[in-house]
Amino acid sequence: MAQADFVSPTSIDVSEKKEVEFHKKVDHVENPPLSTESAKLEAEEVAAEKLNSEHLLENEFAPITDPTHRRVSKNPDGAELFQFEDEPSYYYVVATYLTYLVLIIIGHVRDFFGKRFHKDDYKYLKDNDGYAPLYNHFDNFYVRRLQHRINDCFSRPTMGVPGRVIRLMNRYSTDSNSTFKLTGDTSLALNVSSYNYLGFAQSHGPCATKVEEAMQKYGLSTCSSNAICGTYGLHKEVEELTANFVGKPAALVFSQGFSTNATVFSTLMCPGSLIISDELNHTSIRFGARLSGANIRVYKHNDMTDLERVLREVISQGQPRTHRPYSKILVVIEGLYSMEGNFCDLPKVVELKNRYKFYLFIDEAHSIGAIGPRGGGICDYFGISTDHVDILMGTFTKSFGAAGGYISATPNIINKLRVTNPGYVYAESMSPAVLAQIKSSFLEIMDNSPTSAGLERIERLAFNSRYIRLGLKRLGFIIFGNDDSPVVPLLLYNPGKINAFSHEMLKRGIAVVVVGYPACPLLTSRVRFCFSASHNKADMDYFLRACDEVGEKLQLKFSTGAAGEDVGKTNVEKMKKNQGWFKPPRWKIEDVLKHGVHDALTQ
Amino acid sequence: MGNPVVIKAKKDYDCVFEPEPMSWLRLQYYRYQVTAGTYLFTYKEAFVFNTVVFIIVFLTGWAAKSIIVKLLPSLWRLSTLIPSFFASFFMSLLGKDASSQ
Repeated sequence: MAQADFVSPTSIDVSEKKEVEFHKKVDHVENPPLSTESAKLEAEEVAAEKLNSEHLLENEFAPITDPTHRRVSKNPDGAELFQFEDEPSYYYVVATYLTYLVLIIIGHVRDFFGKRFHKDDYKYLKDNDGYAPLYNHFDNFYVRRLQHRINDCFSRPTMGVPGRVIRLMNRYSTDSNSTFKLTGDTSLALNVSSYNYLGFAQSHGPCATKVEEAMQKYGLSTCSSNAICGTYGLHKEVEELTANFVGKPAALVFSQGFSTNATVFSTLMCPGSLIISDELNHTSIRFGARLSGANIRVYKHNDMTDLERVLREVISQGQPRTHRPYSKILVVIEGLYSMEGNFCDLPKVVELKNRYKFYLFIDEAHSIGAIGPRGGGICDYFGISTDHVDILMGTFTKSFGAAGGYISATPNIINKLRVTNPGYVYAESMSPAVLAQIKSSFLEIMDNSPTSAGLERIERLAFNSRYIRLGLKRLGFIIFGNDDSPVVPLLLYNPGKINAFSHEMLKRGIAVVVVGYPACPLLTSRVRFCFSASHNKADMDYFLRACDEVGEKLQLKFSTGAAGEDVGKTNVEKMKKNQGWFKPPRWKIEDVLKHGVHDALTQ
Repeated sequence: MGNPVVIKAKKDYDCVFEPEPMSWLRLQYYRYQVTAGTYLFTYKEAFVFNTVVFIIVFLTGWAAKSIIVKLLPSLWRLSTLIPSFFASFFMSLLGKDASSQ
């Protein structure tokens, strides 16, 4: 199924307007206004703000409960990146495959009878009056027979700003999730589904004020592309701020994050060159790599041995058939993999780069702002200079509460992109309101004084990530990724648990995003939590209690103890002391909460 | 699926966690549903699937029962030898002790 990111914080104002319009339609259908006065009164105030009026500020960003709940996000000196993936017992693996087999059989049986007794429903999959069908039956089978069953977990309509909490509009379905009807009321849920890493999804505060001023001054849109008359002074300022923040001489700002990756490779690469891509790179990188016409090779996820093997092979053998050398080789990796929650092994990649002299491209869409002592991303986290990286790409949609993406590199690369990149030359330029949001969040993050609000956000996120990961590991769940990552994938395996977990958590007032095939492998269905600086310890304790109860209920505590119940490095030392013996961690929730803060800060 | 059920929060989020206990029997059936996948099925599909599972379990139990019934006479004859087996075992132990002295 597609990964449904229904609470992606794009432009705050745009999302607000859309939600308000949606609410008005619902109000008209379900609850017609009793009188003109009440309708007028309701229209004057934004519906979400009216509902959230009591705790409006805290609903977007919770105050910190203890000033010690902060830590620096940094890789310990000389420490190797700990990567381990636990596995459940065979009972759950076999049950998962059997369930998928049964679902596929049921789907085919229903299709067999449906094609004969309900022909109209399958018209779009058959030849019709000499015209070939637009939809492929095989491709459509998954959506029609499998994804529909869990459709109510995705694309939930929301209201207001998805900050610390999110307001969901309740709905139900009477035709097996083909269509939904809204009930007219809403649910306020803890938001662990947004990429709101630094908590800048706010409709109040300094960033929102700057956005309003920018709209007054510049308007909503430039109504033009960068190459014509859509480049304002604000664009230059944001480009300069971006370059300074990531530590590169120049930067380029795009109006859409996906198109940044989708268009950049066709400008840099050409037939006769080679792109070496990680196995789990984002689909925007795959899409852009295919568009470029370059040869593409793939290596195993985060496996530096396999990357070196591929490099030696392509350098010695050259291009296919002719065996001429490649004109250039570009290795593409991500700083923080959004579905796995782990970092790239940057120190080893840089070692290989110094030896084999390839170009290095890092996609920091998730890692920029989310990791590192100053929020500078994966290079900041490992303490490696950005001079070792040729091209740094990132997005403003995650940690900055805005939209769009950027490319940061040397001036000659940036100048070439300015005149040849279709994502820059032909696309509309960034909206001034979004640029104002980016600029104000940048200025807040780049403030390095001890009382900086931006520094507080970065260090709160680092603490929250470590605290949650430790807690979930100790409760007994299989958690993927590195221990400083704000992306926390919790493994579910059985397809029945994908839907059930989302339902159980929503009943307890927590909005989560569940992920299944094809966004991840068939066996490892998961739920992916994204924690934010806007959460405090009370939120995380509530979340851990809910996970503990739901985990017991759904039998999700698969951990064998091989991945440990402490931060990775510590666990390796403990395993060596015990000569490799380990037991499954099954802490009680009270013990987890008691030791969580101390261990998160000291390990 | 089936009758429309609105999945929503019990109350607006307020940091106060309230446990939701469930009876043991219902919990076991719920676990069966999510592990076998019938949580995703419609009522009709779940009925058919549960019927098939029940038939398989019933036939397996029936086969096991038939085999045990056929083997019962020989099992009974073997069971009558158990006391004498243990008696000779303990006698040999005593004999070993005596010979060592």
